[in-house]
Amino acid sequence: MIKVENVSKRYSKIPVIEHIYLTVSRGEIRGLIGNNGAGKTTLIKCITGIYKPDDGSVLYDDEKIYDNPDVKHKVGYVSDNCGYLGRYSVSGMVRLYENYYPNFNKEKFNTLNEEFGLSLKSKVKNLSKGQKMRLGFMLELSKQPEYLILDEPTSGLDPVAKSKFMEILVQEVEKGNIGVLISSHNLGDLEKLCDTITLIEDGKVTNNTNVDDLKEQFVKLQVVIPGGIDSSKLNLPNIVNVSNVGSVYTIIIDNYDKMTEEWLKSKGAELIEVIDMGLEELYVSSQSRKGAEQNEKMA
Amino acid sequence: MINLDFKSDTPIYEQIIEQIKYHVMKGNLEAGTIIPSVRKMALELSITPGTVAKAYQELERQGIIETIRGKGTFIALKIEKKPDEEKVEQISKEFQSKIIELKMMGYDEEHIVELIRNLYREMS
Repeated sequence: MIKVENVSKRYSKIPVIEHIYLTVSRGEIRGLIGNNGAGKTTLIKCITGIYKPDDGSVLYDDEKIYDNPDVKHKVGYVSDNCGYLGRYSVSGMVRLYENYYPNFNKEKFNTLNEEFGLSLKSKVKNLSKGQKMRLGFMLELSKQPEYLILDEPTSGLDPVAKSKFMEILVQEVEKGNIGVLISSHNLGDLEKLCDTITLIEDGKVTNNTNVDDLKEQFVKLQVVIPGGIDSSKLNLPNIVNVSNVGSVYTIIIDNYDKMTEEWLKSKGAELIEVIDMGLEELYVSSQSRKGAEQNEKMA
Repeated sequence: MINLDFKSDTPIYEQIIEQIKYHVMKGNLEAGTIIPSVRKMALELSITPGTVAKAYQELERQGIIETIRGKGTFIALKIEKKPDEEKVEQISKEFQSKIIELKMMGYDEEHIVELIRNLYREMS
């Protein structure tokens, strides 16, 4: 299990991530979500042992990763920019990996490449962003890792490569019982892949939970209020977002219960219907509420 | 194989259970057939793996599917048909309310029985 405990990191005294806790078990896929600049990549660099955390610890099966090659051998990491050696060819990279990683399986690389179709002769510097990402993913998987850390893996991929990537990831996770941490802005993708997610904001964890629990916690309602009502009157603290078309209101609620339902009825709500909501919508609406709160404070 | 209705009142995991049972009953999914793993099914249906896992757990509890570690998930070789009394009671209540609706529309006993018989035959 990966155990991240109380990890903080500062760049020239400015804190970037603070007191981060999270775990990833073997066989689990955990998503990491946060706005640009929230500290995701910094956290990932601490987890992969590239940065030394200023406080706290990152342990893999109770062993420290920082400055510890034995642990690094069993961790695959695909960074967001895949900065491989530009003058090497694809087959050169494969040879390099074979030399460095004892468990590297060249046959596995070739099997994966049948799906992803990179030319072995191409120079790394001539590969596109999406191709570099495929290369990184194949190389790291061929190390036969126990854990896999992926930073924005789907951002440069075309739709066909992306669905292949997800299929292979899922297959490998099940086959090798790999524990995965994956960051992405594409929440629709994460929803299909992840068992658990960690939300970070301004360098702090705001939610560490099971995807289904989160989706159960927030409910989207379609409500008819005949004659309409001023949206600002729908102001219970657990109402996250309100929008309306005529007298049909769409309301997103944190912890929907009988009391809230009664309250809505007292405001004239007639037809209350629960509708399905994706992770993306949930995230965006909870963020926009925070934006509104901050504006109020500043005013 | 599975078609989800996201607007339906029936929870997603129950829709999965129902549709797999339907395919088993129709003989589309024979005993021993491999069905997609939890994660693969989640990808295909664009839903969270947790929801699929919940459906599979229930199907496994009812003895309709079997998971063999390292090999995958299969339709059980022998599906034991045992009535679950609680479930039967719940279904009777559902029948009751449907019968009231049909009676109010002028269906008599014969019509209702015929309707059910036709539906039953369509399924097997």
